[in-house]
Amino acid sequence: MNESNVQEFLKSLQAVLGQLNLYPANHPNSQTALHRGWEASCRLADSDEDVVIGLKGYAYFLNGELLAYTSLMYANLYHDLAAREIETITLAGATDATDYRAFVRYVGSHTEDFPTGQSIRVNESRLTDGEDESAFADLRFSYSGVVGTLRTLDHRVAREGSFEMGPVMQAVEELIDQALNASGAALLLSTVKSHDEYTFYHSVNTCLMAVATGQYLGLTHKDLVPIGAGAMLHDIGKVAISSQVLNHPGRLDREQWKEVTIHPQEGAQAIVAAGGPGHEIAATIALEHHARFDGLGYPRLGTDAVPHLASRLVAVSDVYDAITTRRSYRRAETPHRALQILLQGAGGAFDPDIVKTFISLMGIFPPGSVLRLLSGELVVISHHRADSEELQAVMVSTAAGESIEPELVAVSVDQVAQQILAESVGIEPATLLEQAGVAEQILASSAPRVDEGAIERSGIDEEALKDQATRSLSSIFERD
Amino acid sequence: MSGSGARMADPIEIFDALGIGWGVHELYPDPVRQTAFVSAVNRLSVLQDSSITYEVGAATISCEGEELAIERGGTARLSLRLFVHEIEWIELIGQPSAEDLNQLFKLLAADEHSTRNEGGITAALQAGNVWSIQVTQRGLLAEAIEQPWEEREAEHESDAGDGGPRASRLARMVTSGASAHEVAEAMLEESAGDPQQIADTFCEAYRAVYPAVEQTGVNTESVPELLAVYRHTPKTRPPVDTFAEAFFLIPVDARARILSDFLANRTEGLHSLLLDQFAGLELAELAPHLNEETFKELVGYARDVVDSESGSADELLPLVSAARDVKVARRSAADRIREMIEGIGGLGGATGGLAGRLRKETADADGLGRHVLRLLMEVEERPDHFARFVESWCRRISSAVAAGELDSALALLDAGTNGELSISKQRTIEAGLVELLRSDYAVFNQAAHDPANRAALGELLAGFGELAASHLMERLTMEEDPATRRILIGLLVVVGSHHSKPIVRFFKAPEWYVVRNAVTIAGKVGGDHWVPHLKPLIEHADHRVVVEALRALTPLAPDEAVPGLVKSLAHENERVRETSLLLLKASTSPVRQSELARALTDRSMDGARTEIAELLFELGTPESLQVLRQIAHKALLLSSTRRDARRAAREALRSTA
Repeated sequence: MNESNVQEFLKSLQAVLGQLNLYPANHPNSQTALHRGWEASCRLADSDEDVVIGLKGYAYFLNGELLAYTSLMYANLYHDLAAREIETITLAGATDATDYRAFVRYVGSHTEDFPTGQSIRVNESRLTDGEDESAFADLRFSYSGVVGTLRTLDHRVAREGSFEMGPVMQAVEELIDQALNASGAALLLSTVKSHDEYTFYHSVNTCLMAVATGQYLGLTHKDLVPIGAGAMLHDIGKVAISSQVLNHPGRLDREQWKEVTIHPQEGAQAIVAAGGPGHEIAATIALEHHARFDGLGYPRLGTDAVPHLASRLVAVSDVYDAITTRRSYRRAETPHRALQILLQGAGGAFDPDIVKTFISLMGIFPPGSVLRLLSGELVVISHHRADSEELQAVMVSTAAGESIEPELVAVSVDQVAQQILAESVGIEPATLLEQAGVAEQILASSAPRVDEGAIERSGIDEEALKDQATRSLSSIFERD
Repeated sequence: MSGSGARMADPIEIFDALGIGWGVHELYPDPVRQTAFVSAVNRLSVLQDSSITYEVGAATISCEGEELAIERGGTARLSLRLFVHEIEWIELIGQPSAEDLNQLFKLLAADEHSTRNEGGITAALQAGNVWSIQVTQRGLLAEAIEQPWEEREAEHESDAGDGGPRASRLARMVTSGASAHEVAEAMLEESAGDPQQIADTFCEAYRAVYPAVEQTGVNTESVPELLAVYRHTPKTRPPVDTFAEAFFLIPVDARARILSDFLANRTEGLHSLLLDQFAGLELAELAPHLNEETFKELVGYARDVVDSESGSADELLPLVSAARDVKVARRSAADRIREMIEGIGGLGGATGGLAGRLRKETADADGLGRHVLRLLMEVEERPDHFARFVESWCRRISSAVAAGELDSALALLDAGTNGELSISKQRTIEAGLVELLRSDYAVFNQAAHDPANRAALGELLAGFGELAASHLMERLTMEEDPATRRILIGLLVVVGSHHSKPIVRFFKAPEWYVVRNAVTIAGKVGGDHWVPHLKPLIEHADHRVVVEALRALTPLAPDEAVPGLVKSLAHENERVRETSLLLLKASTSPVRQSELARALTDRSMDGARTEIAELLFELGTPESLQVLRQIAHKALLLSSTRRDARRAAREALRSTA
């Protein structure tokens, strides 16, 4: 019984509720969904002791332990459960199918009869005060709120071909409010991946990283909102691409590729049609996020035209998140490798200044990087401190490979032996936000800022950087 | 290559097929279903009933002692991956199935440490019932060591017996499985800390071990058979690993001397075997301690083993040949990024400037809006989508007009129309704008009611194109409210200054009032181009059109208008006559006098002669008065026309008198 069992339980519950909204309870679709949901609840239940799923402060708890990742993924369901005033769900031993059915009917508002089954008991336990929301509950809530907004917006665009900018801007503003207060936490949160809803999570991650980059440069909240909106909506045009093409595991043929390459203009058109304050920058970003700094990419912007600076800024975050996420057609790369790819593309695909800024912000090992130390331990980078060159990390396993209670450590780059894909070792870096001590450390570390007054000081030889740029970067990220 | 019937298999082709398979595996989550993967497996069919063994080295793959030319791409990456997993030998026995190959690739793709911790690739392949692929990993040979080295040394000595090689104490320690620490301690002890002695002891011990190993038959010919023994009964770790580790436990001066010795003999396999254990960085750390000659040797060695001097981190990996060194090489990639960041540290200006540039570029939201519109107009090549986009763009123009933001509307219009678009796109845009005018006419009409808006609105509508101008003209024909008609005419005056054709077309309309309105607009717009179209209208059947045409034409073409004006003095309609008389009086055309003089005796001008004479008299020029006097003093006139002219002339002259 672990977090993945809870996720399976909640996912199937969500599916059952959806089916019951569409079909009567005795419809085969509803029956199948109910059966699967019941099976998931059986897998979650423990024969020896009660399993308690708690809901509090926009978060789920499993036997008192906060499930940060689950809280992000199932925020919508949280609202449904909270609307029915459900605070705890207790699974006592093997779940009875009738009890599960009664529970689902109550949650789905198909009955007002409070479930009284013995194997699934609602609101039997009470969360203690200790099981409180973390320091970043608001940030997490905003994150899931934006995902929810994107979900709704996606449906609207698919169904009606249009959407309203107001709710988007509001959601982005809330997220940026939270992110600006805790940029370190925002970067860590941006490592959240979803394979089922890749585009939504990718969009929010891109938004968080673009905003962090902008903040690092010294942009204000007002400057950042339209850029954040653009980053969030940059892939909205993907709604026009069939899911078969979008998730096609192999190489795309000419027609499929053509379909993919129209998503920037589809997105920009939808944003232009939506109008509203800030839509101009958002539409520009959506249109240009695959247009390269060297004039290649798509769509072609014309001779000597370069994408808008805001588009160039978002493109870097977009590619970084895309590279570090597993897709149906390629594997994920480590954050470190993603930085290398960005470096290779500096001056070619990407604006070298933006790449430099981004790497400067993210550090050699960006937040969320899973590293094996030369001494064998596994650590996850939690954040960077402006006043320290050491990597702020959380140790998660010993040299012998045994998982340990996460422990805050500071390590030097020289201690790093290897970077590992988080998912290959079953680590979800974003959950570190909820680990005791990490939140405090992140909050205590001031957000790094670029010194705007030092304009005259020169740095890297840009020409040299451009020379080293690889202009024919693989298309691995062009498709994302 | 070994085994019977394998002579037909080309090692390069086989490895190439493996490389293709690896490339497909890297790209696709389900590679066995990919055609390229299946094709690669099929290429391995030459191995049926035979086997092939490859030796994996630093940046090299060898078969039967011959190094294969590894191209870049899948084969190079596979070679690297095999190397990263510390695989020494890989053997294909018979044709591996697609699933077997996939299992191998999965293991290679996995984290090398995890794989090794779980028992290694060989164990995993066997657990997966894969027998067609056998591998030997370096590290694993060392992991089953449980006995202390002393016990193993005893075994070794007993095995060696009287006829065994004479090896030094250190060599025996190494071959018996002593740890690197133990070996290093012994070296330091026996050499009393003297760097040269330590180095000599190390080199002698190393050379003592390797001939001994060679005598047991470990060579490329017999490797597969020997490896089978190693796989199942690993006894000790490879001595070279112990030497390599011990190397780092002795003083740096001694290390430099050892390196000097080994580099000088690096062309010999046994020496390069040790050198290959070191990472580039480790060797580089020793560089300052080397004399010039040895340093040159080091550089030569580095060039031999590295693909390119400016290689990426991945290309640098072949420089190393042990798992520890791979880690270090990875760190070197981190170092590169760190250097970059250190460079950025002094780059506050460039990045600080970015914020300012970003603010500046985003400040003009309208400009950005036009930019994106323009781009979208250019890049959208799907007709239906383009039409939809035009529709939404038109709605935005309408919204701006409704909000009284005519400048924004104009800018929006400009963004969509001011550029090089294909003819078909231009047509779609024009059609969209006309449709907008039709659907949102009330919006434009409302805006036009404010006199302050009219000029800008007219410009906007002019920007809609000829079709829109035609539509406005049609609107004008249907408009019953005189006030609105006036407004429309006002707008069309502006539109007409850009598009005359749609207005000229209405000169031939059957309804007199339509023609008259079109003529009014033409007159207000002005311009020579109207004249040829207006002149015929002086002969229009409806006097109201004629009046308007005279009014319009006179200021546009004063000389050309005069004949018509003079002729209209005899028009049957009084308003026409009055109008032409007034216009002639006001005219300053030099042809007026001659035309009037000619008309005075023109038969067709009956009924207008009095006015003509008066006009001539009013001109008051010596010539005009002379004309009047001449005809007034004619005594005998036969034609009634001339008599009538004399009468008119006399009356004109008399009235003045």
